[in-house]
Amino acid sequence: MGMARDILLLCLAGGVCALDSTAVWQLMLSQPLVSSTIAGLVLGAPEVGIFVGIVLQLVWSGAVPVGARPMPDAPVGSLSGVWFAATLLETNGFASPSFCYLLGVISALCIALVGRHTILIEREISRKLFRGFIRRASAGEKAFPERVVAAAVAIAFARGFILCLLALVALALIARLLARNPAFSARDYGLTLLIIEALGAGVLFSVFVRRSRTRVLAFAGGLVWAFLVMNLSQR
Amino acid sequence: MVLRSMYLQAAWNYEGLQTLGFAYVMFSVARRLTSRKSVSREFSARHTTLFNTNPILSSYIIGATAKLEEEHEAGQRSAADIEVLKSSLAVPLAAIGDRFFWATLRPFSGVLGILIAGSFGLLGAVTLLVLYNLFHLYYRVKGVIRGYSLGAGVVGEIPKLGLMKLSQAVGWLGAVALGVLVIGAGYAWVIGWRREALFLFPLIAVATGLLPESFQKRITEVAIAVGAAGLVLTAVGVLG
Repeated sequence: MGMARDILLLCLAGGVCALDSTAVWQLMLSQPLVSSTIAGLVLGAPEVGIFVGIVLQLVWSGAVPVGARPMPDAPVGSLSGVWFAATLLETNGFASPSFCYLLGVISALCIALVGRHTILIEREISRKLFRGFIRRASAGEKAFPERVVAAAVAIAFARGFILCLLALVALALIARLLARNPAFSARDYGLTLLIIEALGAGVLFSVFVRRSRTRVLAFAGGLVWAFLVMNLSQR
Repeated sequence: MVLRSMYLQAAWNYEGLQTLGFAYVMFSVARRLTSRKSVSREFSARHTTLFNTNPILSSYIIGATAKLEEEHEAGQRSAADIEVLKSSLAVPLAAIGDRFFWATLRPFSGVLGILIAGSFGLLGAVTLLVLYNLFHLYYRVKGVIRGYSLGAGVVGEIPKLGLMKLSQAVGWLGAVALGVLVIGAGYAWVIGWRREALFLFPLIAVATGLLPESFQKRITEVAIAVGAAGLVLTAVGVLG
């Protein structure tokens, strides 16, 4: 019952976040740090949501949704990834938390990529809705954009909800398979997580620092300041 | 109008872009002006032409177009004036808005959110939401109000937005915050893991940042490949 409730709540969050990412509001509920934190709170494991959210936010912060470029479906990926990491952490026999976090992050990235294709399908349906509206409007018939917008909003929500549901079902099956052979999970997978985080920070470096020499100085200033503060606080 | 402007991208597609969302906002304006349920064929044709701009700063165009429609209904404006205003504002507002909101404020909110989440947990997501929406909602509401009050005069308002200077300032803060994050992340790993992280993290970050943009656009695929390779190599005992 608890798992069904969690899945239902996460799917609803998936629908809302899918709406927020492009279709309506754009309040940034769809940012991985936010959607992961929401997932962590829903699952009663906020620390898992925050950790996975930080890694995914680093990876996707530098991605700019300008023009027609389809973005990975970060919110649905984040929600599913947090659920997977939290489920693995609860499973007896998985000794290393870094193993659970890494699998959560990788699954989130993969689901986000699959989600990108579903975004293209959603846009194609919107194009057909748009064509129908234009055809009626140009023929002088009564045309109501409200109905088309309502249909498009419903489709966007349904896409997020269904994608999240399918992802969670697939991940539940994978979690069962992994639980049969937990021996390899005892190792420390922290180095791989560190490299993924650093790659994300690299994209942000390109966004903020690369194109301006003066900003290199600002970046260096931040580095030195943080280094000194960290050293002093450790003593 | 502000609430309806939030649905500008509801039926976004490669053919019509934001056209349907704009029609959604303007049809409600027409109904208010004429008190009729259906809009005229002329009005419909005027607001179903291709439209695309930054969704947040579109508020200025929405407000100004509503005002011009009112003036057109009163016989003070030609229909051509409305079309010229729409098309002349869309491109500069897209350039300014995309640069500030998408390419600067969004990543900056993300970096600040990560920094705060690392130390204060849940407050990280709250910071991201509050910081971004402070600007987002301000410009959404202000745009409609200023656009409606100035009408065609809103064109003169664009240079006064100050978003280019704000982009510069936020970009600088972003560079400093990223420097702090890179060292902070290294330290967090040193405490929980090993000392090499302090040097490894900044090294990978800067090296990745210097790679061509085509590589960075594929960061999701790269991260999956690195994750899968790391998973296998650690499982067999090569890493970790």
